[in-house]
Amino acid sequence: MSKFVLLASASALLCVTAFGFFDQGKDTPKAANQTQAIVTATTAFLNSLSADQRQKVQFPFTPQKTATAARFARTGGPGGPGRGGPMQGPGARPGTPGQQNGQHPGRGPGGSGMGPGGGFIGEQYGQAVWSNFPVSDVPRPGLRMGSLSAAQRDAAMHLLQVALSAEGYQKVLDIMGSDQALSETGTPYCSGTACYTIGIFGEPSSTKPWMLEFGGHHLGLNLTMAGEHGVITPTLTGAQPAVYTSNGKTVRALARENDKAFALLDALDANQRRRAILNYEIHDLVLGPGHAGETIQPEGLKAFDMNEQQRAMLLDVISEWTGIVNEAYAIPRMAEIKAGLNETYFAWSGPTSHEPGRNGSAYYRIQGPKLVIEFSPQGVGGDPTMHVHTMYRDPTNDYGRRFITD
Amino acid sequence: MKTKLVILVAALSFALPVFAHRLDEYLQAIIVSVEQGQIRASMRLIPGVAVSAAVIGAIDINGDGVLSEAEQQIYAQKVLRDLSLSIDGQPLKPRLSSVSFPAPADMKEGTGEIHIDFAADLPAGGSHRTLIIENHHEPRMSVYLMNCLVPQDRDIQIVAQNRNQNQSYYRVEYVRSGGGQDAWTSRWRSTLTALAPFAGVPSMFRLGMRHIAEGTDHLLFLIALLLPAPLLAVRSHWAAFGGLRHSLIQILRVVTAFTLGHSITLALGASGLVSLPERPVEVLIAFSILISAAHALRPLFPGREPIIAGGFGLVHGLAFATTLQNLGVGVWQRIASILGFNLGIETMQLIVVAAILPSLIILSRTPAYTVFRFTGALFAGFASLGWIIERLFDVPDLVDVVVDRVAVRGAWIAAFLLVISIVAWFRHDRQNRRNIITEKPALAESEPAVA
Repeated sequence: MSKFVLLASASALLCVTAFGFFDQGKDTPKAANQTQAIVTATTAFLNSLSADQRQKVQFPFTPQKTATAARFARTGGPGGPGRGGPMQGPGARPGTPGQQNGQHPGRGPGGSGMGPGGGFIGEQYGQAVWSNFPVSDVPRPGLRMGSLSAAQRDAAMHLLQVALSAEGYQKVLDIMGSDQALSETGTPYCSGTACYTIGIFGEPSSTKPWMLEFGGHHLGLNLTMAGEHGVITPTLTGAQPAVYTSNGKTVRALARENDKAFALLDALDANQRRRAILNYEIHDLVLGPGHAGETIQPEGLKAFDMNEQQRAMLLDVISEWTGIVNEAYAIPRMAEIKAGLNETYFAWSGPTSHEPGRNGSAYYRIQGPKLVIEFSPQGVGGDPTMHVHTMYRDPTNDYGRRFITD
Repeated sequence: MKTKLVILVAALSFALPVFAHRLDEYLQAIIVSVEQGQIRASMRLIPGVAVSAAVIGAIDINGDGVLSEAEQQIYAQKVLRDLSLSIDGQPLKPRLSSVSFPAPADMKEGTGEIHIDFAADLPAGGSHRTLIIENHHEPRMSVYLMNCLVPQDRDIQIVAQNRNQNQSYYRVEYVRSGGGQDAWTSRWRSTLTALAPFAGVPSMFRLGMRHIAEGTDHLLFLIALLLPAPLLAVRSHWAAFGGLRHSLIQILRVVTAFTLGHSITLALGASGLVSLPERPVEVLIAFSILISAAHALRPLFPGREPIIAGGFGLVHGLAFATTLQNLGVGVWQRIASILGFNLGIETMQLIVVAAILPSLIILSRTPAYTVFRFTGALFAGFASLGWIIERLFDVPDLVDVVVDRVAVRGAWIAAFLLVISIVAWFRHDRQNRRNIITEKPALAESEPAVA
């Protein structure tokens, strides 16, 4: 009898242990593996390039204390200081050494990049440039998709697929498709999928920090990796036109960002809504490129005053940005945001409804201790439901600074 | 398909090909940083394509297509002059820190960004300060953004932000638990630091005083309830003066009941134990004013004013509580803040009552009081009706404008009232003496009535 009990409990124990070992639940990806996978894909991409191209796409990785606003002129390279110094007064600031990498604009008269600081503001971090403007206005360091061969382009897009989540990758495609639709109407600046630029900063490594940039008009992805950490702040997304047709299908870019936020607003009761809806108009992003490290006084409705369902909906909205990057990086990031959710504010300004199948024209902001998201339809003379800029930052960890110890 | 897309996209945007960039607006965004002795601000100005010519024209005075350093400085100074800055009501003069201009060609594309950084020194002041920034630069073509940074200095805490609809007006209220100027103040401050949770009490006190001073609806309710306090009800009318003792006791009971009522719900609401939707509370408050106004015309609940005051006080307290909702501080600090805030409210309330009390007492002995009582009751009644409509149906009307205009001159009105009441009393007194001498029945005498 006792032998039987012993045998039974031993095998039960064995089963449980085996179960625990092999069943990883939802197969939670390991972040360190993820970095390795990105390194592999990046190396494959780099190997597909010629030596000349490789020189144009790869830059040193120079972590800074903070990113700075820098001026760029349309007809040339960056006119601002090259090493991320603070933007100074007016005056000629020719491109500094270290900026010779190929950033020749696709159109417009050739320029030397000299002369007074240009009109466009971008955010400079070392040699990386974060901006929403077309690449002919604010040149990005790196190689344009249009300058790559088909195989090289595939390698680059594969790299993105590995680095981003499936939804994130689709979002990037949607945004690029939107810019492609824009380019077909003819623009005096570089537009379309060919203009999107990829840049690599530092040596791809699964232990040492390095950075990947991908962007162009209405897209600015910065992915900083350091060992098992992957940080995608600051990132901006946007679209114009927000609704377009591609391969016979109607695509609405950033639809989920829009719809989920409206759903959250609808789920609030009247008292909560009164606190969430600001009584003034907001016409543009407050903390876009050039505002690194700034934290504005939060306003709106605190998640502390939301019920469980509403908090889940808020996290769902946030996940549209945090979930752009692959799951292994996104999960710890969401955990960090959840930890500070009580002190996270949701603020709304503008109409509280939208036409089905279209984005709305209202601005909203989500701000927490380690998070700022802004969704800003641009009514700059056109239809605001068709033109939107968004930004996503972590003021405590933009460019992954927290994970870079040097 | 492609043609349809092209037409669709073209139709959905303006004819100008550069519709990806700013078109017909002049965006001006200010971010201000509040520090102990000064404020600093950075301003971005981005003229849209359609307005760029006008803006460039305003900067390029000599029209040579180049924005010289001198022209840039002149324009920047002009922009600063078009801003109004004030601290605690005192105007501030901003000084230019740095400017940065794009080339005119970039501005024509709607993406040129002008940067103007400025600062202003703050005069010495109390621990609760109000900063107001107004932007009057090119209002017809501009859209504005106004924000303030979370203060780097941990001793400074932003308490409230208010903007008007288009953000051309921005008010920031903040408290400083520091800024001691002399040795005595700093010793006092270090004592306070030991009682850290209570360090914010003086500023909360001031906030409370300010809150009810601006809470014209709360004050109107109280005043309307006090109007008939010195009188005695006879059947369904207000009759003569009930005597000094009666008046004082009545007033005391009403004020105490109101205080108790709103203190209870202020504490409950501010500590998060009770939470009611804002709109019904606001409507109820307006309704309470209507009731007390009606009661001042004809006695609806004679002798039971304290109950009404206490009952409606509970509603008013909920409105006070919303001010303290976003304090985000620890438990003890919250309790201390509620206490301080409430003390502030009571103090200001006492001041208001004391200001009109002598006039009430004196004037109510004269027949002129009826006129005053009617005027006050009708004013409160109409204001409350307007507020009810406004708060129920979200229809903005002139009530706030009118009431605020009156409230602003409150002290003058109180003083004027006192003068009137003294004059009226003298006249009435002289008339009485004359009546006694000529043995005519005195005016406005009535038989003693049941209160």
